[in-house]
Amino acid sequence: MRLLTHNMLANNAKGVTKGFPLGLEVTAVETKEAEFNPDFLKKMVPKLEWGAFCEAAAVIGVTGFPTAVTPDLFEDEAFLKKFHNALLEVHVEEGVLICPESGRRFAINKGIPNMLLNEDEC
Amino acid sequence: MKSLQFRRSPSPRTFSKVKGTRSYLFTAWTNPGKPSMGPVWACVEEMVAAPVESSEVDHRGFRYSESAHEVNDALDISCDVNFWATTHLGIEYLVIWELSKKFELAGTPTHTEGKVFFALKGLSFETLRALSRLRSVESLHVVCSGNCKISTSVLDLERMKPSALPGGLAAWTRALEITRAWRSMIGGGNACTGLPKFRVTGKRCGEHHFSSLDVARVTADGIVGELNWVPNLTDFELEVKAQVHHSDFTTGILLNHGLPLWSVALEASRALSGEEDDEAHSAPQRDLSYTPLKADIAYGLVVTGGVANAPCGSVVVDPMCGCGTVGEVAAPEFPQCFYLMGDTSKNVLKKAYRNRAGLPAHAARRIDIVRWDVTCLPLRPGAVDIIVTDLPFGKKVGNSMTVETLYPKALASFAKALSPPSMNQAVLLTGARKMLAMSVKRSAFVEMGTNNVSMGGMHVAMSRLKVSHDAAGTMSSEVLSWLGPQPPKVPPQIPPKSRPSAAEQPQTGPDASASLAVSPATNVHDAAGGGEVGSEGGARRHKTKWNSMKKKPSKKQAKQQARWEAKMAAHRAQESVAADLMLSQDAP
Repeated sequence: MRLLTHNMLANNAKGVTKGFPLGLEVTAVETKEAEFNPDFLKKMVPKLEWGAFCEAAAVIGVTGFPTAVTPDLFEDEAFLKKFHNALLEVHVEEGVLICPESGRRFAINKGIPNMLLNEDEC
Repeated sequence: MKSLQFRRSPSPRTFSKVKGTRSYLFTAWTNPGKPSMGPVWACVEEMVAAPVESSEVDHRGFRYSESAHEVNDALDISCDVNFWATTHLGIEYLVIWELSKKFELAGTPTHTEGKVFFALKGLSFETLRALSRLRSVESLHVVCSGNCKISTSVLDLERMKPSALPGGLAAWTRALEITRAWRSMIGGGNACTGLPKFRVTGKRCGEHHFSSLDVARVTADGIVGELNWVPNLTDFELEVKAQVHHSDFTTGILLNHGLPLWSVALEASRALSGEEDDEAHSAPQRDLSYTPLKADIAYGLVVTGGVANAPCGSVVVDPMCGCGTVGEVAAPEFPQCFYLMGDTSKNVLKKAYRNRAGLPAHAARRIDIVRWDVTCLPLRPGAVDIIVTDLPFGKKVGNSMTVETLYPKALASFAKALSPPSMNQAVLLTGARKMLAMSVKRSAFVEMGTNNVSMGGMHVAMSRLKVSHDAAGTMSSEVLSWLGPQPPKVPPQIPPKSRPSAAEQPQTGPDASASLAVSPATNVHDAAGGGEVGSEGGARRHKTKWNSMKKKPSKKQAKQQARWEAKMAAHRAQESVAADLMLSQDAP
């Protein structure tokens, strides 16, 4: 699971009104090189919840992102590289996702988060 | 002889059946009343409308140049080469779209049921390799002779020798050269050196005084007599296809022997990834789920969903990915998108995981896998741009009941995920077409168009859906209601007409018929008041109407039902008389 996926996942269980962003606990991380595509990154920024992304990036050890993204940052190669690394190259292999409201824990095994809910939860 | 001929001609019944199927399958996307299906369809329409430039071109778009035999060792053919591709019935438009995107075509491709005829401007090894990477084609033939007209008589068939066909013998030797080049480069079948061993498969469609076996026999006769190729039915190197389609006679050599071309393309991309990891030719076989999606149909879903034209950074989700075919097909072809695949079952996700590992690195890095339940998708509203999926049909996976509960819930969660900031497109493949249509009517989705595909004889539908933004706000509560604990199978409500009569009925203690819901109550009222027969009739009419919507009973069942209802009515009348008596006893 990459941070891009983490940024899209939410807990939509019954009774949970605010299941986003999910908290992240990491036990194993793997970095796999991915194709650097500045255009993809630029188009991805408005789709992301930036606050949630920064928090998750801090958990996997990439810090120093600005609180908001301005257009001139896209010219900054160093920022784009760091953003690319955090968003697409770092894979959370083992860890836990935690619902901010109910505290429900979703395990991540081999990079696949298990978001299945029990029958009484959905 | 006469009787023989009579026996050989196809029965009119079969013929009409075939015709019927075709018209049924083709109405959906030639219907001018339907909304446009986006850029793919527009592109195909444009191409079909384009004028034919040269007089050499026949009605099928096949081209014949004077310099027919221009083959050298490097396979650099400068003249036009004709091909004939087969695919699933209903996705021919997709083959034409893919061809026009990837190749320089000579003239306009044409198509009949499940077949596409096209000509390429010259041929080199690169073009041949690109041909082998076609995603939407099941089998590819290089055409030996194309534009020959044939009448229904046997005598006319006997004339069809290679030298008499357009292009002459040179076209056959050139087709053989191309087949050899294909085999040496891509593989599939033997290398076929020297005089090739061949067999002929004949196919015939229409009303003729000869059978498909005759077509094969005559073609084989001609090849043996004029080209000296060696016939061998079991141990053959070339498979020659001879096809009579109404008044057209076409022959071609099958290029991809054994595997379908889309499968060759998928395996080729896997072999590529093996080379990158220094494990050449050791790419493991694909892991298939119980009902795997065929790769050409997956490609069709992806293209119909608009992934090909999606802007950079779009998020494509397959919420019921199975072994992950959609991602496997789409990620190498359209790397501008990010793909999120998910399923409920651990077993199929393992397969999807292994299949992703087999892809080339740049494609595999575009896919993430999550385990989830489709009825409660754990996705932030608006995070998804396009949903592309193959729903369970309720035949092999699930049954009609599970599908009936699954579809509305799945559509509701899709609608949530496709909230406004997204591109808002969904393409669903289903065999349970009626169930999907019903679920779509009850959901926030609007159907933009349907493409019918014949998949192994089963008529499945590719439905293109959009969430209607106007209704999104008002529908959301309804959407949530589907997600509630109540299944969508709601029992028939008491119609408003009969309700007042039930309300009017005086509650006089433990009435004899009060426990029975509607009819007895009206009956009591009926017997007391005398005139309210209409309300009861209305209730019954409504009830039968609802039943007929669900399943139409047979004549026998209807008779039985009528008899049963008459019996029940008599019984109720007796009961109501008794109740009336009791009332009258109570009253004084």
